[in-house]
Parts: sequence; structure tokens; C-alpha cells
Amino acid sequence: MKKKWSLAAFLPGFIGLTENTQAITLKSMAEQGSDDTLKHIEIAPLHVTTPLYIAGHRSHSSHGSHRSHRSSSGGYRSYSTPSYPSTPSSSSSSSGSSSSSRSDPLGQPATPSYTAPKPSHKQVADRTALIMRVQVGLKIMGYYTGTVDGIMGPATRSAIKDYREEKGLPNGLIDQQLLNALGVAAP
Amino acid sequence: MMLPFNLEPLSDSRYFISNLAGFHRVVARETLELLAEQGDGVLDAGIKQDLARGLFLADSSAGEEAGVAALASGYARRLTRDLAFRPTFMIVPTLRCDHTCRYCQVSRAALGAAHSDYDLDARRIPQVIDLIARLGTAPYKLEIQGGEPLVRFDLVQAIYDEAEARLGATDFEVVITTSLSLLDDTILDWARGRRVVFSTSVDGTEVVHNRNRILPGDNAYQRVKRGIRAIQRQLGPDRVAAVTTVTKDLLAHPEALIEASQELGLTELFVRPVSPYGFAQKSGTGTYSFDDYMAFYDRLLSLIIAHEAAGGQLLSEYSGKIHLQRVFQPDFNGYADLKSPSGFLLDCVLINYDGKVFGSDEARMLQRVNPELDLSCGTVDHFDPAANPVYHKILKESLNAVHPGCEQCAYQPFCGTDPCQGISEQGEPVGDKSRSAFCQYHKRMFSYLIDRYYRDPEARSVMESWCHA
Amino acid sequence: MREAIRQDVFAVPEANLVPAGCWVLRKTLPTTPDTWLNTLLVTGNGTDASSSNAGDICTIHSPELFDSIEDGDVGLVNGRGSVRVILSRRANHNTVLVTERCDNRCLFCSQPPKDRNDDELLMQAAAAIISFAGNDVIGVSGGEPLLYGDAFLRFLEIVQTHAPETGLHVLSNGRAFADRYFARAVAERLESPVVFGIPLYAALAEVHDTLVGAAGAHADTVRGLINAGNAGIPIELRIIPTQKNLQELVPLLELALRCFSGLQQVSVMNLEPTGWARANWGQLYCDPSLYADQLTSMVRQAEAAGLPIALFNYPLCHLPDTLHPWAVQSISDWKNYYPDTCSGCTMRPECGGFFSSSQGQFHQSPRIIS
Repeated sequence: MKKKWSLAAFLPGFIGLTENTQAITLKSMAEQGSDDTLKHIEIAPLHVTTPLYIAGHRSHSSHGSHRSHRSSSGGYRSYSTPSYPSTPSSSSSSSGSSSSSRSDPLGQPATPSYTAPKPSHKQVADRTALIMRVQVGLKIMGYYTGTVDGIMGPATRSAIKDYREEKGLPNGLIDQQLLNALGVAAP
Repeated sequence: MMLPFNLEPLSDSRYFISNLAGFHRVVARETLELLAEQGDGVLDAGIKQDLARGLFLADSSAGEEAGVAALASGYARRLTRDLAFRPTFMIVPTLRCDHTCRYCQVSRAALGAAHSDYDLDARRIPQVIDLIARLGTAPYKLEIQGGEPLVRFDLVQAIYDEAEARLGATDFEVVITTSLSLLDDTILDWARGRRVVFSTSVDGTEVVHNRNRILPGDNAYQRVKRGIRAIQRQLGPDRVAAVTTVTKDLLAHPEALIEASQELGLTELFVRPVSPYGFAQKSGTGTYSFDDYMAFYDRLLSLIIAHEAAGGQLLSEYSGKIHLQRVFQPDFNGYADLKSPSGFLLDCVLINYDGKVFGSDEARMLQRVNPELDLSCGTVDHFDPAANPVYHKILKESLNAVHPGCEQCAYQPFCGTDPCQGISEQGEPVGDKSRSAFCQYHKRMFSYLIDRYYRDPEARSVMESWCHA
Repeated sequence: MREAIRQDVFAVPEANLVPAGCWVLRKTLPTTPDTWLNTLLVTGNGTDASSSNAGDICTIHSPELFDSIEDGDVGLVNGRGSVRVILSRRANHNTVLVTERCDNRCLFCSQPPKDRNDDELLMQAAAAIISFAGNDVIGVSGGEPLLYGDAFLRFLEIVQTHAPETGLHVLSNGRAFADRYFARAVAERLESPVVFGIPLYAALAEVHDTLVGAAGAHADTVRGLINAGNAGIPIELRIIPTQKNLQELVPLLELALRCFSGLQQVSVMNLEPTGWARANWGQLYCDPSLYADQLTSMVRQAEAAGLPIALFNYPLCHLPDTLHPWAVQSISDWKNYYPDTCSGCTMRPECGGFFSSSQGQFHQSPRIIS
């Protein structure tokens, strides 16, 4: 990058007309001028580089019936049959309609006791994915500020607690009500 | 409710109004009186809407807030744009000239003067181009000035070669400002495959031109005519343009310009009053009033309109075009004089034959007649505008929105400032606008052009063709 | 509705057994499960039977769907026997809807708003975009996406963190940017390419407010456009000519050129007969020949200022020749429909065509290009 001579030295208050031209304030000019309307002028960056991909356009109606699946169900009816297995060996049917697991593996401590049966890779992956999805949901809604790491740590627990309280859900960790409210599908 | 605007009278009791964002309208005096005395409630609905569209009126307090924000944003956009540092790099390879013109704008040195006193040292050329590469960005615009640059065609070639090597083969363009008296086949052959255009001067027909442009022992007009023709024929019609300095001799004969342009095959005129700089001012040959100039311009425009109406090719006039573009074309700021802050240094970095660097062509002229001052911003080896307090002052005070006299002028958003002219005329960059030649010239041009644009449909159509060409 | 160029809804009877929601569609069994969406295995005629033996993964059989998708496309299952491919690697352009709430009530709204809380759509959209992980632009539309306020900021952060190659084009009325701190907050979060498509329909407040059915909308959007541009947010300004704003078109463009920063493009769009526009067609639709002069002037002004301008959804035969260079084909698959009359037309490859929704009273006929 070549060094550019800066104008800033000449126009006090104009910041950086250098190669990285950024926001400029007109404060000194406003002070010099008499017009109140100039007191809070902001100036756009001179060189906003922007892709040209918007050359095409689209409209609102691209998925006009996008939400028709929700019109009468009053929620994620189908999610009431989570597809994660209650035990490592069992599995929900391919249609996802027969399993009726009541277990809440995610309600268990994050670090399983050494006496517990070792979970399968799939279980671990599903569990991690579910926590990540919940973390993203909580993050978007402003309850969680940590990293999306799939680990049920104290910050995630506390976020779930806050969210549940706010939404009037009974105490608990990750259950169907929480998933429905956040729009998260269980793996 | 009203938003802030400025106003200036036109002919027949109409007013030109404009605001900070650069919107304008032409309104009847009675509309302004109604507005001032009784408010916008009494205005005709159509007029009211038209004014509201241009941010002269707002219909509610929310509208007022948005209107003020839009005005401020529009003003900020103009400033930001005019602040951009996109200079033309002018290089003066020699001050020597084969002409001895009566009103020479630049000051010159005799052809036989010592090279070492008035020519650029060829060994400096790499430094010159290096400075340009450091300060500018592609596409670079280089303008070779004089004196008569073709007196040292070898330096012109060397500058071009260095630019090609250092700036990139297709990233620059060179304009050579020349009388064309020395143009020959060697130069034409050289220019053919290169990114070179010629800018020359034609001051009217042969008699008028030769009265101003004195080429000892030869005929300046015949020389420039031959040169223009040769370039048009061999390089193409878009490789040469001509500027006309309007002298007293031409004032009474605008038709001479139309004739000359016909004879020379030029479709764009660029007329300007005699510059108040340098020796042109001292010699006193060009003195006439702006009334005289505007009468000339009025006749010239009518002749252009008549010429086109009679089936002739449309002639455009560049000075008129840039004034109109400033008013009608948002974002247009392609002319160094019509900018605020001024184009000083922002639009021009001039590298003189002696290695000194100036913020405008005018600054080096001022330097020539005021040797006791330092108007340079350093040298090729050491470019440093910050070191010269004159540069601080000029740049800081070149915003017309805060100049007394400009503050309330309706042409202010479209106009500019010329601090060097202020220094030349009044000893300081801002000056008293009521005595400013810059103000008189530009204000009259704006007012004349706008008045005619809105009054005369034929003129309007010609002016629109200028702007949209 | 006429058949669009790319079919995106597929009736799959057994899909009514699949839980509704977004699914990542796979044609082969993935070796690792998708983190963000559940996997729906789609089988076709030629599918190896063993690959459909997918254990606990949902599987549906639909040769038609199978042939229309790529691995990793995202489908929306409606729980009533159909699958809509919402993010398709074969589509020219994909869009996700993040809310149906809106603070405007545009007379020509193509996606009439609803007032209930639908926050979960934002989460679904994020998951779909991240799972899709495309390197093209995905449209984010509503409703008014910026009604989410801070949640929208976090949506931007999350999508950009987890799908850094994906650009976004957000359709918004821009009113939320009237709060300049919000505009700055959005600007600070723009890492991958994000453009906001913001419509303004008039220079005059009363005209815009009437068209968008909300008093004060013009003042908000004008201030929003100014704040967003000054904050450095790239903007596509969208204009729809109707009978009500023909006098506004040229002054509106001047307003944009003089006062707004950050504009990347001006898009002028022919009215589409969908949603509420159908009900208000008679008082809105205007034949382009009635405003060809305004379009010409707009094109001229924008070109002189170096701002790209494009005319969308205009059949070439409805525009004067001089405007043809600015008329572009929509990148949306459901537009660019050509009636039979167009079959012999030599201009068809470049023509914007008609809306597939145009029929009956809403259809304007092709004309001879003189």
C-alpha cells in the first residue's frame, strides 16, 4: 500500500481523506458556519465498496405460501414426536410419528457420571447439535451471549432459565415447549 | 412550513430559488410574497407540492425533520464529493514559447532563453512521475503545460515513457496544451498509438486570432488550423479540442467563432473571458465589462441555436455546459472552479519546470508576478503542502457556504471559489464578493443560462443536448 | 397460478407423516448429520434400496422431488403432504421469510402481513441459511425484518459467523433506520456482503404514505435511507410506478441522487398482480407507455450520476426501444413468463417477460415492437 498524503491537516475536523477514507465529521465546519442544521451532519464514507450482485431483484412473494403449514396447527404439532432416541438402541421411525420418548437427555448434567452407559457417537452428535440450535435461538432472542459450542454450560443454563421465565414456561431445561417457542427442531 | 432556501431574481419578476441540497425551482415573485407574508397554506396546491418535492416546504413536523435531515445529507454529499482528492497532474516541461502573445496567461520565456533557466531537468522526470504515483490513483490524468511544451518534445516523450512504465500502460491519459505551431509528422506518428490528446487555443477567425496570438515571422492561425486538421485526419476528431479566450476584438463578432469552428471542423466551443492572472492582467489588453461579455455570450448562444435550426451541426459550448451541469446534474463536480471547497490542490497538482509544486495553474502564475511570496507546496523531492501556511489558509477558507456574499446567494450550491483569483485581485483568498471578477462572471453565467433555459424553449432544447451529449 | 419456470412445491403424500418445518434434503445418506437442520432423505426411481434404509432418518420417496434437488438443499415440509424447496442450489435466487409482521400496509403488498408473534421464523431462517451454507446471496424478506430490532442484529451476527460465504439481500421498508443508532449497529455487523433493498415511492410524503398505508412512513423511510447510507449500509432503492406516483418518479430520483448515500442501484419495478395488488389493481396499475418519458428521464439522470438503474418485470414490447438497454430479466424463477404469443418473438431471450401471476384482467398483452 502506498502512503497517501492526508487532507486532514488542512481541514480541521475532516478526518482522514486518506486511502482508507472513512467517516468524516463536519463539526468544525458547523462551528464555523452559523446554520444550526449543520451541527449534526454525518457524511457517508467516500468509498463504500459493494458487490454488484444486486443487479437482479426479487420480490416479497417469492414464497407466497411459505407459512401455510402453520395456519391451523397452532404450533409445531409434528415436533411433539422428537426423533432423538430415548435409548441408544431405539430409533424413531422414518416418518417420525411413532416414537414417544419422554426422556430428556439434555436435562442431565453436561458431564455424565462414569457409571452411566456410554452414549453413542450419534447421541453425542445429536446432543451437541441440539444444544447449538438452542444456543443460536437464545442468542438471536438476546438471552445468550456466549459462543455457540454445543456445551450445556452455566451460561446456557442461565439463558434457558431466563427465557423460560420470560415466556412463562415451567422450569426445566431443553424440552419440547422450549424448542417450539424457539423454532428449533430436535435432532 | 418553510425549509431554508436562498433566492435570486431572474428577468420578468421570476425568482431562482435553491437550497443546501442543490434543489432549485423558478417561481413567481408573488408566490414568494404569499409564502413570506401568509405562509404555505395559501399557495396553490400544485405549487405547494412542487416546492415540497424539492425540500422547500414540509407538510408536517415529521416532514420537517425528514426534510432538514435530507437537506443536511444533500449538503454533506456535495461537500464530501468536492473534497475528494482527484487531481489532474500538470507538468510544465518548459516555460519557453515560440509565440509572443499579447495577453499571455502564463508568462513565458523567449525561445532563445537558456534551457537551464526555463526547462525541466530531464533527470527529474522519474521523480515527477514518482510523486504522481504516490499522490494519485488510476486513471491518472496528466496535462503537459507550457510555455509551449512541444518546444521540448523530447521531454514530453520522456514523461510519457516514464508514466507508461510507472503508472501502468493503460492507467493514464496525457493532454498536451499547445498552440500546435510545432506539430509535425514525427509528433503525430508518436501520438498515434498513445493515450494523448491535444488541447489548443483558437481565438476566432484568422484576423482576430492572429491579433492575439503572435508568432513572429509566421501565421499563428494557419499553423493551428493545419495542426487541428492534421490531428483530426490522422488521429481522429476526438483527439483535439480548442479553447477560446474572448478578447475585446472578438466581443463584437461572436459569428467569427461559429465560422472558425466550421472551418476547423470543431463541434465544441469553450469560451472564457480573459483571465485576470499574470501578465494578461498587467498588459491591460483584455479589459471589458462583464455586461459586454454577457452580451457577447447571449449573441453567441443565439447564433448556435440559429445554426442548428438552419440544419447545421449542433455546436456545444463548454462553459455554459458545466454551469448547467452543476445546476441540473446531481453529483457533477468536474470543473475545478465550480467547487466548494475549491479545486485548489484537490483538483490540481502542478509540477513546474523548476521542480516547484503548486496547487493550481493560477498559483504558479501568481508566483510569477509575486516573487516575494511563496505560493508553492514544496518541490518534486519534497512535496509538503502542510509546511506552507498559505495552503492552510487557502484550503480552510475555500468553502463558499460561509463566505460573506455567497452565504445567501442562490447560486452558491452550484458555484465555487477561486482563492488564487481572490489573492490576485484583492490580496486575500475570500475577498469582497461585490468586487470579485469570479463572482461577477459565474453569477452572471448562472443567472443568464437559467433565465434563458426557463424562458426560451429552443435554447432549452439546445442546452439539454449539451448536457446529455 | 401459471406454472413457474422452476417448480418448487412438490406434493409428496407421505410427507404428511414428516414433522413440519425446515429439513435439509439429501439424495444420499450423509456420513455426518447436519448440525442445524434435521435430514430428510429423498429417494427417486433409481435410488439404491439400501440407501433408503436410513435408520432413524426420515425418508420420503418422490422421483419428481429427487430430480429437482441437489444434496443439501433446504425444504419446508408443511405437514399436509407437500414439500417446498426454499433454498435450492439450482435456483437463480433464494429467499427466506423471517416474519409476517409489518408496520406498513402497502396497497400492493405481495405478502399481506399478519400481526401475531412469529419470532421462531427468524431462528428457522438462520438455521436454514447456515445449513445451506451457499456462497450466493440469500434474500431475507417479510413482513418487515427490521421489526425484530436487536434480534435482527444478532441474526446478522450469527448468520455471518456460521455462513461466512453467504451474502444477504434484506428487503425492508427502512423505517427502523430512522433510529441512527440502529442503522450504525447494523452497519457495524456487515461483514459478508449484505445489501438492503428499500422502497421509496414518492418525493412527496402524502403520496408515499398513501401507497404504503401508513402515516409517517415517508418521514421514517427518508430518514432511514439517509442514516443507513451515511452509516455505510449498501442500499438498493426500489421504486414501483403506479397511477398514484407517476408525478413523483423524477423528483424521487433527484431526491435519491442528491440526498442519499450508499445507493448501489435503483430498481424500477413493474407492478406485480399478486397479494393486495390484485384487489387494488384498477386504481394502481399504469400502462408503462404512460410513463415512458419519466422512465427515460430517470435513466438519464441516474446514468449521468453514475448510479446503476434497472427496469424489472417489463416486457420489452411495453417499453420504447430507447429503454430496452435498461430493462433486465428478473432473476426470480417465478417471473419471466411468456404467453404463447411471444413464441415467435426474436427479443424473447432478452425480455423481462410477464409475471406468471398475470392472467385475466391482470394480464397485459404482448405488442408488436415497431
